Amino acid sequence: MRLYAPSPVAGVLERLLADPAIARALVARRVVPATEPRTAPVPPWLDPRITAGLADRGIEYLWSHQAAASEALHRGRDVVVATPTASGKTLCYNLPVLQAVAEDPAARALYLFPTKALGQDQVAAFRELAAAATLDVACATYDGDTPAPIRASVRSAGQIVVTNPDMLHAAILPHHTKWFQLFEQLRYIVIDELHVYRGVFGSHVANVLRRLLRVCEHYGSHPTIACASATIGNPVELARLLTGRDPVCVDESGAPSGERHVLILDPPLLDPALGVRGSAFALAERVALAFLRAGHQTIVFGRSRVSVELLLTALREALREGRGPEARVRGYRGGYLPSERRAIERGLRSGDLLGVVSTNALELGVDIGGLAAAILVGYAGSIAATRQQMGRAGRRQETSVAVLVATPGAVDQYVANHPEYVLDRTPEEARLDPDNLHVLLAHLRAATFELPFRPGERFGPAPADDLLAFLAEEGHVRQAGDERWYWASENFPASEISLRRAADENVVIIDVTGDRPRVIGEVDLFAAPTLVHDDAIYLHEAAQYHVERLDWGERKAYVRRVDVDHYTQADLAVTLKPLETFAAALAEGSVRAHGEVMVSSLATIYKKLRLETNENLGWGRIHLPEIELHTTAYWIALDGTRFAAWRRDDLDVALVGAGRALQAVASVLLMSDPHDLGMVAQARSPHLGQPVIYLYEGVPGGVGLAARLFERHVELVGGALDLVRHCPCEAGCPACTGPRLETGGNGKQLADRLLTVLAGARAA
Amino acid sequence: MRQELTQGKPMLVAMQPDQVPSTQPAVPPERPRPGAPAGVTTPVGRSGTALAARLARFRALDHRPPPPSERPTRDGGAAHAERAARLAEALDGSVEGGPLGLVVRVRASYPLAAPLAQLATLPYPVEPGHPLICLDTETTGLGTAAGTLAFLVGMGRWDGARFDVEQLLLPDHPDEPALLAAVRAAIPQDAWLVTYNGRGFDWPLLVTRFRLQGSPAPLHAGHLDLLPLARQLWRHRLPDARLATVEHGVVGVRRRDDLPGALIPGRYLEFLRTGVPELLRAVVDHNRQDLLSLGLLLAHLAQSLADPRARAADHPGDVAALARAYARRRRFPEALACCEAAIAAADSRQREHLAAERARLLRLAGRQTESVTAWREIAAAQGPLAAVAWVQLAKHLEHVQRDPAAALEAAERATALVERRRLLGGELPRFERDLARRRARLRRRLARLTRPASPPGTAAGLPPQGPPPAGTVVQTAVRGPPPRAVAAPFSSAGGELAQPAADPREVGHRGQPHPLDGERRGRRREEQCRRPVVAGRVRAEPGREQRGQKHVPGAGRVHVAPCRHGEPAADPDATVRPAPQLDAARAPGRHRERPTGPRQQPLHRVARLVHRHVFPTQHGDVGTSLERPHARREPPRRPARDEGAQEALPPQPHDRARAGHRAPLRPQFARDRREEERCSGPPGRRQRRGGQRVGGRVAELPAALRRLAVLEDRPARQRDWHYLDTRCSERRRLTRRQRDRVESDQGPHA
Repeated sequence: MRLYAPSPVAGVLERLLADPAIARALVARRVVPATEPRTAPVPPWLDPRITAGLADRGIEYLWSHQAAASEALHRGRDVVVATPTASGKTLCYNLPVLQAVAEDPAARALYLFPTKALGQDQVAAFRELAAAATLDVACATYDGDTPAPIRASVRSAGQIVVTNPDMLHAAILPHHTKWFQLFEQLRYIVIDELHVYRGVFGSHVANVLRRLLRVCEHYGSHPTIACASATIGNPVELARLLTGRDPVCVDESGAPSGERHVLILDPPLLDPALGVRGSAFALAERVALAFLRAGHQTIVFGRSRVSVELLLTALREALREGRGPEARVRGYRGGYLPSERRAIERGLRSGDLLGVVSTNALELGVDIGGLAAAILVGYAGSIAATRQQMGRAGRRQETSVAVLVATPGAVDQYVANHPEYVLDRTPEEARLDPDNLHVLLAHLRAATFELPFRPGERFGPAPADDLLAFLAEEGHVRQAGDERWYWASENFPASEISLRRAADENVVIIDVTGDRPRVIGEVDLFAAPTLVHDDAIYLHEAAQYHVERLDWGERKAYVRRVDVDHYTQADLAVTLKPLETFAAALAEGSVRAHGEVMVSSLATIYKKLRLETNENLGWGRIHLPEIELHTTAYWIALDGTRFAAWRRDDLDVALVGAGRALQAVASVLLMSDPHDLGMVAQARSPHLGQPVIYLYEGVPGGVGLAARLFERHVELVGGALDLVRHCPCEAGCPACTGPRLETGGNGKQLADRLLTVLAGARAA
Repeated sequence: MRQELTQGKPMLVAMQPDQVPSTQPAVPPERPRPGAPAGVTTPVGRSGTALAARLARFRALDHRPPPPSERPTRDGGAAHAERAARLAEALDGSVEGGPLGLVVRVRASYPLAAPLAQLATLPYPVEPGHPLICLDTETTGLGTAAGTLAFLVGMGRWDGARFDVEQLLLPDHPDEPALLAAVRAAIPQDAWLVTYNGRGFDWPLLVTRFRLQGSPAPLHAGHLDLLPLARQLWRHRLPDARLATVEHGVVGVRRRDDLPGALIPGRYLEFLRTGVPELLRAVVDHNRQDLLSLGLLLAHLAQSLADPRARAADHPGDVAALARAYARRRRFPEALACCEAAIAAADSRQREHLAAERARLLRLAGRQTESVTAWREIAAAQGPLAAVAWVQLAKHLEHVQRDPAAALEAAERATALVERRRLLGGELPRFERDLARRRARLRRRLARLTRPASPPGTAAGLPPQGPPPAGTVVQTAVRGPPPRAVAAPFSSAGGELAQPAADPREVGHRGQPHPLDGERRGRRREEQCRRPVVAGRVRAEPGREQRGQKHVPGAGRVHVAPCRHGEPAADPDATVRPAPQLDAARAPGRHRERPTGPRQQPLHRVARLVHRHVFPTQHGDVGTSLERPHARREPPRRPARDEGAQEALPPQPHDRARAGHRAPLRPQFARDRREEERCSGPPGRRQRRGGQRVGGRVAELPAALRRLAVLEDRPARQRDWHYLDTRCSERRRLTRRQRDRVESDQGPHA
């Protein structure tokens, strides 16, 4: 093992900032001052055994937010706790739950965590607490890892059942009769990591919770709901949308925290013409090494599994450290064994491990204690997630450092140019639309399967009869003579719904060159018609493959390795048809609107282009079905008269460039994945007769992103203009209006002009 | 115009190009949504018109016809009663009404006499003294989740010599409470349910239905599921274990115009929609036939299989399967009786298999001598299983009779048969491999036994193997050349046999070249570290269990000593040490099998070893197994009677270790030990046995299971019959362990 030269955090930071490589990249630096603790006494209603157990573990008093939240829960009020990372949220709900079980052993509680690992973690924590209080509490996980023989006993005797929404949806609710002991006596439902339930996933989970509460009602229980969330803009609203209840908000943390320095680094520009920047990895490594060598616990967040492995290798090599369990710098990501992960978490808590390189798997509430430094390679996708990751650096007393190293992507560059976004703004609001018709209908089917609907019974905001009548047309549901709606189908509706989009369809690419076919990759279904259509040349790891056959029905593309001097480029005709406008309003130089749209894309022809010269060598037709998406969109219809003087080509380029910039900023504003929004620019819309930029949601039915964009139009256009103007590239780069080759002309300048009109700003 | 689409990763509706849906034109003017507070996403469906419009677009997308202009009128009670009445009329049943709803009851009665009391003799849990109720349901789907409805519950019971069938039918969804009340009334508390797959499906589903109505399911005394029973008894001659197959194959029922089970849910749902009662006639017939088949199967069991006299007329395979069922419950006398009955009824080919079965049962029942006789008869008959019989005899000779020479002879005979068989195109690769290993081992053992010209033991006038126990006919029957003659090359078949060392004294002594030298020896050592060592320590007198030993069928009593990782590999002398001399000296007629070269363990042994390593404490103590002395860390407990022999010997390094001194460690040992101690804490006896190696062995579980599975997937004729006996139980045991350890998600449909 290397020799470390111990040195205080502040000293390391000082030396780092003196390093010219770091100083050149530094774009922002903030100091978050230390906060003083605010305490409250342990509530008097607590069972003396629990109080003694807390005292045993060194807890003589609670932080103020813990006392407030557990008090409200004990009185039966629904609560949402939204305090920073590592502020002791778990105790807020564990105390009243433990108290309920201590008072009445028949009482039950259901804990929902977004991942299995978190659930298992919490079971261990709860058991420790119960053991300290000398209470015999049956607390168990019920998830895919639970062995079959244990399942039956968890069903009948588990007092605290810890599971995840997917399991609740597919295994518990449809089989609720086997869980009647739980549902009859359910006192508390705990939903931790509330902020994860947003977007489509959140819309699904909201409906699963509707089903859960409906089943509880059937068994005559009315559980209190405790939600815990990271710091987000709208915890109460999110909890309200998810649970349909009106919770009390506890968001003032009483836990103390030490001083924290936050730095934002942007690798310097190497080639201004093309917008090429230095490596974010190298920069992050440099920073991490400084802390590791000084013997401070450090966490590095990478965005993908591959980047985690790359960073890990680099750090270990730099530290001349071996692999294996004795290494003091470890990786942590999905795909590691649960036991391995537990060992890493333990190592971090105990201080045996010095560093960990992780994906966002450690962003959630896994207890790893406070570390001295957190280094984020790339913006985490949202302010909330970024703060969550930065929050991993933070100790009760001492100084800590959080560093964000921006990558060359558009979103990251926007954040690097506007550090106040991450540092000062309130975190984004989590959006979800539990009444998305696709989602709602799917869960209504499952709900009918679970229990028949009474006439006039509500599911979500309104009586479900109209929707049930709609389902009855399909024949899955029928209204019997007693007016109730019954499930009348052989199908198992819960199996038709996947709560997460991870299960999305994709096309698998199979290389048949060798003796045995080999899967070399996959493309998502939407991109498949342009990338792996018949006779396409598909590039993979710098090798060329000829697509022999695309089996659309089987979602497989069979490719063979070739060496040719050309590549193919497919033309995708995307048409976007507005179906209904929900709202429209005049804006500067345009009309902003949002509504329902139909997006259809059809790959029509492909061209063969010579590799070096882009010379056209020929073309062919693509015979693939059109892909349709029925969703919601936000659009800006430009005032035709203001742009009448523009050349048509310029307008095209400007629209695409501006669209790209808008798209990047929109995903920052909405705390959404950049892939959740698609963009279509039409220089003369067949429907509106004007130049239009559409931003549409990538999910059937949408989750409410379009409506939010409509509301924040000014912010959006202003942000896009800012992004384009402040991008140091010359004529457009991937960080602003898209790579120069693609748009042709001076995309950046044209987009700037267009956005200037839209923002009502003066030309730069 | 070139239109652009940037990355999007949507959930998609894929459509054919020619199916562009007709959509309504856009409505451009702004329409503020009512009641939506700023900042909150306006939910769909709050205003009726918006919802209607959106639903209409949904319809367009799915190419659905527009909704019916008005919902069908419902006039509640009258139509409902009429539907039930029509149903009853069409099915020759009666409508029973009550406050809970209506239920249609259909009755039928058949003459079916059955001596049910006989069932008690079967190796299955059933109490014929109680009322037996055959139960079968028809449902709207598979699975026992809350949305699956049991719309038809059929029950059959005996009334003297008659079998009464009663079917309860649900006319409509809301009548379910009435149906369940009728079911409750029909099942008395002391009833035994008889079902076909009812444990997994019918009954749990009814429990779910009762729970949904807020009441527990009716109590009953017991439940006999005929599906596992049918699998055991009749699967050997049937293509599958579906009820239709079994009833046809066993009691000769031939269904006419039977409705396939898969169509039943659809029929009922169609009936709910249309109210046409004729749709259900076939369903009711199907259910009635199911119940009748259950009754017939039960009657068949009672009349023939359960009756020792009537059994003779049964298919010998059924009777043999019954024997196995008895054996599983360790009721060996009945098992043997069944087996003998089957032999009497079987044709020649089957007879041989059954005779082998019988020999196995005899051994399980502890009747060793008869078992050996039986194997000998099979061997003498020179049928297809003769080779197997010779191997069994070889095992017996080697481990019980302690006559390696005779065992080798038996193995040679088996080899000759197997080779002839191969010439005729029948291969038993596994069996042959095992046989080859057996022969090699026996030869090595013989070589070792004959090697010491004047070891202390033999000098004292003790023969290298024990005196033959009385009453073993076999020994003389198959004994080959006497063990002393082994040093001379064999003249019999099998070319490899001509290889035993010409002068055993040259081999294996300290300072002399060892036959397993060079690379092979290294490999061997490595192998020893990877796999557990099997040390066979077999007592001369058969039939007596000794503490710390386990009886392994066919292998005598075997001790398993796990090999310590990392330690013994480095001692080259260990393989050269003249251990046989010690053994011969210490216990006359007793020797230890030394770890042999790289080879694959027989499958059942692997499985057993896994078990031993998972439950180390259940198996014999370490002291009696053969471990390398250097590998020892503390003196093992040894049987007291060995003490004298040990003291008479000159002190050996390993004996110092046994006496409580640590043997001098070589540097690499010391390092290994340090590392091991670091990993697993201070060495304790228990830990050494269980400890970290348990993990290693457990990790092999799936591999062992896979091997079992591969073996079982082979077509029956390719399987090595040799392994059939151990395989099933091992597999069950392993699977159980595997299930406990590894995730097994029963999933929503389970």
